Amino acid sequence: MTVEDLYHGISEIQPKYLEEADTYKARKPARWKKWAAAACICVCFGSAVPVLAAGDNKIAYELLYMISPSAAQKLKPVRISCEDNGIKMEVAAANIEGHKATILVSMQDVKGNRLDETADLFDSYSIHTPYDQRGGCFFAGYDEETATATFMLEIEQMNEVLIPGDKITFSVGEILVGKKHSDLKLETIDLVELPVINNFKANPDISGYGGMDLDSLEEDKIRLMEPDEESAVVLEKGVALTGYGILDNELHVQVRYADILETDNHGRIYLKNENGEAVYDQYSVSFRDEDGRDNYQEYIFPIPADGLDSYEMWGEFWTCSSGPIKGNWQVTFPLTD
Amino acid sequence: MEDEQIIKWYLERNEKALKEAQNKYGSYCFGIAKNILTVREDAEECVNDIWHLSWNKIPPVIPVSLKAFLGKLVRDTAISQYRANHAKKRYKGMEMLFDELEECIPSDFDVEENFAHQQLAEWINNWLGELPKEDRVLFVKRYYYGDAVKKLAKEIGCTENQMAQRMLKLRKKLKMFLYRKGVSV
Repeated sequence: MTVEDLYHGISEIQPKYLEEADTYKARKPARWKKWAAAACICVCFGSAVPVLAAGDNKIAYELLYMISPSAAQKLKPVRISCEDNGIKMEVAAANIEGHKATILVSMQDVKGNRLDETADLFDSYSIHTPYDQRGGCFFAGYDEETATATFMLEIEQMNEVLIPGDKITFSVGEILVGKKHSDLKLETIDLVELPVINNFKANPDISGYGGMDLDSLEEDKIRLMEPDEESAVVLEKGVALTGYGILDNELHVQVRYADILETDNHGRIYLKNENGEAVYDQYSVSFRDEDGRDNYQEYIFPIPADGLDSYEMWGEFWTCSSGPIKGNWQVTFPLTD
Repeated sequence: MEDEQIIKWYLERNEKALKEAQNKYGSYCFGIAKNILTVREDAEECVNDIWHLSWNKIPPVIPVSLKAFLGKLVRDTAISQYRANHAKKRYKGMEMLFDELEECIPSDFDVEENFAHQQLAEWINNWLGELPKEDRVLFVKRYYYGDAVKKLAKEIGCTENQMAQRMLKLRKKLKMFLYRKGVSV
């Protein structure tokens, strides 16, 4: 089979699916997924953890109580588990309420101590229900004693309501651990003495765009720096500064995020003005290296060179010091009254 | 104007069919052609060609959906232009689509000789039917309509990188699905 065969196959997509795509209105999610857990932990950390009677799931329940006591109280035990690569995944409990279902999942390293308080299911998890749904899975907590990380899944049904008896399948393929968040002032860049960019990347394999003002981006006119690997400055493990300078009266800063598919390394470069306020890039352009493993991101700030001396350059990064723990964890469980 | 009426005019060889089809689906077809071919003039040429083609094909073909029928004509014509200009590396949109779709083809998918496009189309439709709605919509928008990843990310409300990851996941899923089908053929 060739790619043209596949192209022609796609040309025969049924009219109902074309119609569906034409009329689909996305429900943009609030960007709370991982923030909520952190915020709730901060709010609830000082409060007493209620005593629970949930047998083996006590740790998971306790962790959940720290985040959402009301959610924990409504959960009903499920306790279906599977094990792969020395890690046991258990759906501890679940609850459905109207369009929303809440599910508590624990991952326990039964053969070692590979999990930690930064455990993240990355983009490797899937939730399947009988109906269209959207959902999120966020880290709820970690118990060092039992090497157990707990996650809470929240599923919102789009049209149909989940009812007792409906089955949910939750699967995970990778767990990232050893993650680190850093926010650093980048002393390396002298914003007073900035070079003019004159070495450009030929035919970059552009993988994406981002930023606050994408509408100002003219794709056909983009010029990106050739990464300067010889002079690259390591900013964090897995993050390196590979170029900066002025082009067309705009500041360009280029960063390499290493091995992004295995590490989820990502971040952003931003400026701070004299009032300490953050100024973000107008837009950024990403391109991959030849192997498709490393991702270069070039941030463009529409500030002329002579106006930069009152700014500081900062970088905020989320990195991972090791590769993911891989496995094939999947459980299917029915929702019950 | 209802599609049934336009198709009726096609069948009656009434040229009003072409005028109304262009009025109703002209920009729709141009959108697909522009996404795939990238070059405006070539997209216009592609769309101009399909009216003539549709006139020659209906009848005997009687489309169930005029929109899908014209969309397929645009895609077929676009790939002909792509083949003709491939050496010039002229069409960035098509190049990107092909690069991405290449990833969906299992390496040991050894069914070429007896392979029928219709069968593949059926598999793809079956696979789409199994996907959650939003994933299905994203796949159709990216690989049928050729919408850019950046545009899709904006529509859904996520970052470009997140959308690229999501599309990668979808391509892997399709690859696995085709692999299983290929093995069972």
